[in-house]
Amino acid sequence: MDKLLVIVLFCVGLFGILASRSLIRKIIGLSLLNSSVVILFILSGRIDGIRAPILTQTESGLIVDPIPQALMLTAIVVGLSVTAVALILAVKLYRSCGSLDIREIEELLDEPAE
Amino acid sequence: MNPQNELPVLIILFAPLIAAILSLIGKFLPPRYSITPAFLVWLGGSLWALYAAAPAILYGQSLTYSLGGWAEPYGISLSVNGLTWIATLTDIVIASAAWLATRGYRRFGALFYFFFFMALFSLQGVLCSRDIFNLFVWFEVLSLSSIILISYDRSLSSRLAAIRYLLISSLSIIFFLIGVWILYRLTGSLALTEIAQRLQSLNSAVVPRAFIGTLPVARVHSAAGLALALITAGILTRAAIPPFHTWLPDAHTAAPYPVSALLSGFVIKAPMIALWRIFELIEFPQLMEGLVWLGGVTAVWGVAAAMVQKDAKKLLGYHSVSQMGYILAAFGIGGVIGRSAALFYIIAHALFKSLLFLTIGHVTTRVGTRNVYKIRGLRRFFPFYTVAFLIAAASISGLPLLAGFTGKVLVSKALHSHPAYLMLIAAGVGTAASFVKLSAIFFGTASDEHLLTLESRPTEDRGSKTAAGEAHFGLLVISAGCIAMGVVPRLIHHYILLLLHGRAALPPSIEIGWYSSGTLLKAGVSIGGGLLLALFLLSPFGKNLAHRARAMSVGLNGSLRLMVAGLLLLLFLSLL
Repeated sequence: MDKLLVIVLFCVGLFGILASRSLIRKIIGLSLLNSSVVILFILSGRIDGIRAPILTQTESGLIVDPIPQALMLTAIVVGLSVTAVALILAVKLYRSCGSLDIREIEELLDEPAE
Repeated sequence: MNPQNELPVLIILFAPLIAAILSLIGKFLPPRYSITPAFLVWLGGSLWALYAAAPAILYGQSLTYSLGGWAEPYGISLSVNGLTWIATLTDIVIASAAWLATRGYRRFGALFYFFFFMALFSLQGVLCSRDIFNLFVWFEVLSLSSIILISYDRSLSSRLAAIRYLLISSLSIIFFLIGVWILYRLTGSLALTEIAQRLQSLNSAVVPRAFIGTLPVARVHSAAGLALALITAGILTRAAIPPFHTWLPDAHTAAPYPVSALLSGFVIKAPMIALWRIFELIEFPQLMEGLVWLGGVTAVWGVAAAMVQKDAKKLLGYHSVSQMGYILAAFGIGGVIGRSAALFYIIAHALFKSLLFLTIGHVTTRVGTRNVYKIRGLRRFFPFYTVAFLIAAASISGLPLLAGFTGKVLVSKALHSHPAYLMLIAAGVGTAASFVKLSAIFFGTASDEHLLTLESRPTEDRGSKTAAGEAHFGLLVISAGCIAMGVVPRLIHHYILLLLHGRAALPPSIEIGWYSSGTLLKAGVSIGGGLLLALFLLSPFGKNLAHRARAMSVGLNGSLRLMVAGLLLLLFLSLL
């Protein structure tokens, strides 16, 4: 079930970034892709019924692998900043072109026929 | 861990960060008290650290700094070895020249220099990192700071280029992360040395296979192959190798020209160094063979697109793609000679490409247009820039006694019996043709319209003599580097080998035959062919053909699909 969630999220995100012409949808697609990778890492560090990775003086035994969680904290922060910059650029492009459609924006910049 | 070994690594890494922070203070202080000291701190610190690190590296050691005192495999290690040392020196030269070139313009403020040094900081991280997840973080910081530098002009085209780069590089880093995930699942480690060891121990029954568990060996191998292919795709996107290159020409065209010089000169080379550090530890022969062919394709693809360009900076951008092909092919063939050829070419290309961007960028900014077919007669107005440009253009075309020629000799020595080498020869002819076409802007007579712009004082120019002198000094140093690499290639190649392998393990010297009749003949043929091709390109028929070829651009959606197709190809290759 969890794996299915990752795959569905990944595919929806990939579809969004590849097929959509709207910049906002592309950015949402990218965000979804990012989340699917985050969930993938988190899932791989999770085992039901095992303690959280907090070392104490008295307890010992199996603990959950803390590394994926630590990594994903970083990845979430990085993803957030990338999304923020992407949205800023999208807003600026919208203000100067009046459109979010990537093909329309690209056509504005194409060289005129000679 | 003795502190003497750690200090140079720390300084090499953090000098750009300190310079970035100092530059930011420039928002409140006049530039004299913030921006110039920031540059000097960075330059002085980095050079001192390189000097301090040199003796150990010459003896084949590498200097390592472990974050928080946790050594590998638990902590994150950053290390400086011979490869990083050479790359850092190249980076310092290019970045200094780019920095000096920005001084002539008022529009570059404190924020610009902040992101400029942040880019250098993350570049240094990419060069030093020995932890695969850490590498991801550096790559993302690098792409964010380059995106802001690319869109610095706030024009429509620069913002479009920036968002294209952002989407493409973010998609590539998703591939990279999935690769990291697979490797982590397989080996339970993120440190490259540890990953390599555990992957190697797969075949021997002696080492306990705690992490790999019960998977059959064949499946582990194919999973490792997939992971490496995903990581390679992520890195190749940053290095602008087709079909992952589509962001580069737009981004390098839209960026302010000193930034283009840094981007083309070094930002696309750093991922190659990272790739190198991964594959010097992990062996993966079938992918390497694929990279040789991909290098050949890259060289031809880039040059074919470059020849038809009208925009001078875009032409240079496509040539960066093409030149990366030489580096990739030499890297893929591997061995002592292949790897040293790749590094030699990385240095040579960094020098002449940044020189090209700095000269062409300066003159096209002054003339107000970048149309290769329209600008003429700039020689009269920019004698110094004309000479510097001609040195760089002759270098990239492979004229003897310059860096490009010796670089090509070395690459051809490495690849001599490989069929992909034919593609590199073809690319050489195209390169010469394209630069003959570009050189035309300096000769002939300028049109009246351009004369007016050139003779009026540009509004942005500071107009100070010192700023112009500083920019000239940067060009002078790079030109001297180009000439030195062409005149004393044997010495430079010897030092590259010495730094890569250390004094004790120095491989036996190989006779390259830098200036033999064969190499001179090859250069003559390719330049002759290039001249003929250039005549065709500048003819009305050639111009018409070029115009039609330019209309076939793929756009953002096309580029993203191309990337996914390229990734699937690499995955397929890794499973063969």
